[in-house]
Amino acid sequence: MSVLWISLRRSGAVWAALPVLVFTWAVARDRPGLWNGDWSMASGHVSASVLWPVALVAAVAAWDTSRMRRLGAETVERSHPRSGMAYLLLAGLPALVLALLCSAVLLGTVALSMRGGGQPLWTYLAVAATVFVAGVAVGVAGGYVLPRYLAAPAVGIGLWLVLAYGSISDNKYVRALVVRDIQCCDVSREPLLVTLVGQWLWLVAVVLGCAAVLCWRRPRLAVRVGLLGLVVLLGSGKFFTEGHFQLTTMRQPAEGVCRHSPGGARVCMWPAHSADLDRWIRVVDDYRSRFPELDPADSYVEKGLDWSGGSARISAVEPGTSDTKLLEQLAVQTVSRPPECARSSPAEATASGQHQTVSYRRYPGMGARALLRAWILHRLHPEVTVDRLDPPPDRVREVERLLEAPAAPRREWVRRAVPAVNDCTTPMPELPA
Amino acid sequence: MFTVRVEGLGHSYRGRRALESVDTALPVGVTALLGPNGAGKSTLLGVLSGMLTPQRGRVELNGLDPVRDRRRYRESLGFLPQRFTAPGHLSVAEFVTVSAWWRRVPRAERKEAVRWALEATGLGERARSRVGQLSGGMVRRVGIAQALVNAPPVLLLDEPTVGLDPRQRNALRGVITELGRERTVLLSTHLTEDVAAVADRVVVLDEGRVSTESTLADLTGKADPTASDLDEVYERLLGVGQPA
Repeated sequence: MSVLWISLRRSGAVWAALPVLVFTWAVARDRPGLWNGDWSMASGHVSASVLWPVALVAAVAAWDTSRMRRLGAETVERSHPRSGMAYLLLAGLPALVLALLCSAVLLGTVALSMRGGGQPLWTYLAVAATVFVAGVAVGVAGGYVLPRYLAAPAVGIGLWLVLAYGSISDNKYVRALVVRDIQCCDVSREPLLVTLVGQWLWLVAVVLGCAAVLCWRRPRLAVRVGLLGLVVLLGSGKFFTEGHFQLTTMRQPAEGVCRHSPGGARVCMWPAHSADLDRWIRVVDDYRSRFPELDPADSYVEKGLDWSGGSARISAVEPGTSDTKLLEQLAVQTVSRPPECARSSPAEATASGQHQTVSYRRYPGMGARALLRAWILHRLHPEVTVDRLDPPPDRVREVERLLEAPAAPRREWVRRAVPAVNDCTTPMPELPA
Repeated sequence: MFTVRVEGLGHSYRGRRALESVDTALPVGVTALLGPNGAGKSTLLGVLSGMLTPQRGRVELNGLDPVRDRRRYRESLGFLPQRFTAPGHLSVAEFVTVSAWWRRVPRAERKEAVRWALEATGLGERARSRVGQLSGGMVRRVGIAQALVNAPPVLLLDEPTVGLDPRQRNALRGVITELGRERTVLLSTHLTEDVAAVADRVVVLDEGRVSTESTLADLTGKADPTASDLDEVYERLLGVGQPA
């Protein structure tokens, strides 16, 4: 009967393993909004999915440590020849094993649901695994200092809050420190190692901080370890600054796979998504023939590929998306965003454009956007009533008037409204009588 | 032959002196540590166990210094604290096995060491019982087993019979007597019955100093003194009714 076996066998991790692993599978599995188009995207998804499992694993570590701490203070740390730290690490070992299993489940779930190609961004994935290690360290430290039955819930909830809300902080340092904030990498080429090193160092600093807490009964050692943690933390800030807080380098536009549709449109996608190319070509031609009033573009490209004002945006196709929905995406894109000339604040964007803070001012043709959107949706879904088209309340009457107008004047109105929503000078045309 | 030597030992807590200057030496056998409340018994045990760092004077255990030779010093002693608790979710054997690991018993010898410690404390038949399901007396035995598992030459037992019923107390006294035949046992207690039953020598602490140090027979003038004999002597020495 080895000590490791005893530690594993009697750990709360034994009971927690099944629910935690099922939960991990649930957060990592393919679902709307979080699907794995290629390994580049999925690497970001894996990192983003650690939020819940890390909090749960940390809670397990806190539970085990607080349970074992009953004899810690006097007999373990202060009279036994072996360091109390070694014992506390032993108490954290089962949670660490659980953490490794969670990492494997995350990766396995993503790998099984992978639709596209590409290579896993291993350095990203390694950061995700390191988050688990840091989470266990936080759990052990929490279990050591917090009251017996408070330790596990306090650590679990606290860690979850830090990870969840840190990632939406306005402070770029805080955002960089919260590892969950790894972006989904749909336009990234490869991780920017200098920033990732900063994240690893930050996690090492967390572990050192926890170690300092654990050896507080030996103040000199605790201070030394704590200071080392502080130095590592400051070092991580330097790496973040050097990497300009960007986690990935951009892919080169030339890497795209481009084809021309029978209707003459150019459609370009990233190689990892090129399986969707035929479908998009079909949808683009359908769009161009069904919505000539919207002045369809001649070029349709994925984000990051030769993106210019003249190209329309397409993306990897989310599982279960119908052709009609794709068509709707293309058409609504015409009115989904105000034109550049209406922008009132500069964009603040990261390498992959995930964090954008943009605002727009009012412009003369702005009112036509809601009406055009309603017209597009009605054209695609004629069976849907006006209220289901979800126009702004003050535009309902105008939408009804537009949709009830005869076909020819309606088409003419649309033709004149399209330039109005896309420049900042043309006013919204008069609605047909 | 003395295994533990204490010379001029002093210790203070935030300016309040708990030990003034303690000089004593402990040979093989059971030595009882007596004294009124605040005499410094727990502080002395704390320093001897390595829990507290000596502030003044010297402590030596078979020539080992508790700070300089921290690891080997601690490997040479076993300690049962007054408020001993063990994780209730472990079995007795598991807990003593983990204790053997703490006390750096080599892996190859660990199984035999655990078996011996459990037999020596009469816990052999309860090896598979969860610690949380044991009576107070059994838990104290588990405490002694964990202190004993590395077969240390010195055992420090702080109030080992507190809270036990008379039957459990007698059984534990038998265990301590047996252990004292081959090793140095320092027994801090306020029960003169314990002292009369198991001790060979007595060290009385008063106001941070050793006021009396003698064999039980010399102290009472009787070859086989009883608890009431000890009470009388204690009263005479310190002017109190009962050691605390």
